[in-house]
Amino acid sequence: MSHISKKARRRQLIAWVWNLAALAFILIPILSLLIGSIQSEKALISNMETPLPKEITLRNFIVLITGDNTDANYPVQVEHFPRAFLNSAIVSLSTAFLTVFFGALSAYSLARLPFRGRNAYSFAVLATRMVPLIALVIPLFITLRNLGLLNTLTGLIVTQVGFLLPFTIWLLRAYFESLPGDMEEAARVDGCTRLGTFFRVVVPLSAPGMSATFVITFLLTWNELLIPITLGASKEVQTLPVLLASFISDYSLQYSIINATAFLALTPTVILALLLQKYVVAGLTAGAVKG
Amino acid sequence: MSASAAKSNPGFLTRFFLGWRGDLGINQLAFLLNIPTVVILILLIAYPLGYAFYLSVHEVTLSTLRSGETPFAGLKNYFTVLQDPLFLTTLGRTLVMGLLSVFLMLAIGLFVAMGMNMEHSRISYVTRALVLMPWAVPPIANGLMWSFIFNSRYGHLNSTLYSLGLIDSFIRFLSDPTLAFMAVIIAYVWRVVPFSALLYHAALAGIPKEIYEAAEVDGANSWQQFWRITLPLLRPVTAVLLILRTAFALMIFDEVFALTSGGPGDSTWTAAWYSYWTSFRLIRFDTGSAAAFILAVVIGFFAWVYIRFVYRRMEE
Repeated sequence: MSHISKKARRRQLIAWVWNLAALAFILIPILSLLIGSIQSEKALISNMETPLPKEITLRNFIVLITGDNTDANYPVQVEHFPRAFLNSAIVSLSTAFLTVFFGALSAYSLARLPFRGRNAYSFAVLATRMVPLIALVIPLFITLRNLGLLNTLTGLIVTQVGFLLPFTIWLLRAYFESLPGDMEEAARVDGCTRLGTFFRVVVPLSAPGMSATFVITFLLTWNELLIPITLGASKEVQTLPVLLASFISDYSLQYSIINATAFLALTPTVILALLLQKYVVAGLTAGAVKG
Repeated sequence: MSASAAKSNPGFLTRFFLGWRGDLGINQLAFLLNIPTVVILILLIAYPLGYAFYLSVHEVTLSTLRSGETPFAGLKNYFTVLQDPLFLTTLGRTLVMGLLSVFLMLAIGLFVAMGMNMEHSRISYVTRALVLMPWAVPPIANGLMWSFIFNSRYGHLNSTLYSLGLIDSFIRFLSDPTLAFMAVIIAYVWRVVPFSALLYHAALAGIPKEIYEAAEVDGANSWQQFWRITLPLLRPVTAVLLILRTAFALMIFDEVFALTSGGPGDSTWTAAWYSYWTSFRLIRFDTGSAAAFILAVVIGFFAWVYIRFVYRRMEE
């Protein structure tokens, strides 16, 4: 009996050491970023010997959130933070809404309707997902410039929708395929049309899958750098990643404020991902295995 | 008379979309549902891709764009790029960086997944709750986060090593070609580990416990169980991760931008960075597009293998 409990204790110990190592890998970089953002630049520089913070202040965050440009010690970017945050929110919400809407229509047809040419079509959709973005932004830059859509939020939303739609279709298709078909059959037997079945039965049933897909597309748009930095780099429409990238060309990098900006940029997506973890994991796993 | 004729002979479109009793046929409904997607994909992926090819076989610089005359250049841009030693080393480096990153991602992801799978201990639930975090971090924020960690003036890696007495003076990680190359890989791997951890965890959870119990009865130790049972059963998911994540790793851009901007010298230039630099810093859209197209072909090879793999699995 004592032999078994000894073995169980050993298993517990291994599990704890193993998981603490994994958690250290996940958390230490973010902890480092947080420590680097709750100090003034002066405190950060004067405290080079140890990573522990010398002081704790929320001033970096307050300056950024209020866009307060009165303190000459801060780089000019701080004044653009509120605007960039708002731009990111507008672009990400619009893109997520449009991709889930259009994606659901296609995904349903791929999952449930054995239409002619379905295999070739789904192959084409999957293939478009693998086109590297850098090959698309160069021609899009010229096209949007000719259309007068360069440096507009509309231009950013439209291009992001195009780039994320194949992925959204793939995620939602996997989700629709996982739903049991009997409710739809029952609706059909009761005389509901195919289109009516989709809107009255399938859409309400797939709220969890659509929410997960919404969160994933929101997050991918929020995090995207290459599209906005090439197609919307002006101050009025810049998103948070573009604002973050603008620090890089600075003559001397003030990491206290860069860290604070990066921390505020990752907060919404990390919170969303952790809150909706179960759905996001299901969506990502299905999307990665099947496409 | 004419009204009743119209009623008994509905127009083509009405018949096409509504068919009998207002219901759509399978093909019609599929057509209707896919109109937005097809329009969007043609306008925003197919057309730009074709246009990128057009750019790559013409002379397109800021001045030729202004004048509106972009002369045909044939394969000249491709020759220019393929004869550029910088592009060739960059492409080779991208492949090495991509494969190294993916191998590290697989190894660390498997480690994390095995921790997540230790359900007899409460701590595994914490790992499962937090494993998504790196995936949610914006890549450019991730790059800046690591550039702070690796910073030579007050970065936390230096200060940690110093306070532990492991170094006497701060190391300039990002000024050394090899260390900077490793730094980019570490930053990238940290962000993509959730992909492999999640997929490996799903695969591990699907392995029946009885197999391990039987192996234990036969006297196999944990090490043997890992090599003889776990790893072989993880082969399919490893293949998916290896192909798909390598294709994506070849597009690495944000971490390079934030950590090194290609430096020191050109030691961390990657293919996407080359294309970006040529197009948007040097304003050479033609050679930039040619470089992007060559990258697309390399990625297309991995994509082709991946799609074939996926379709074979779906048919099974």
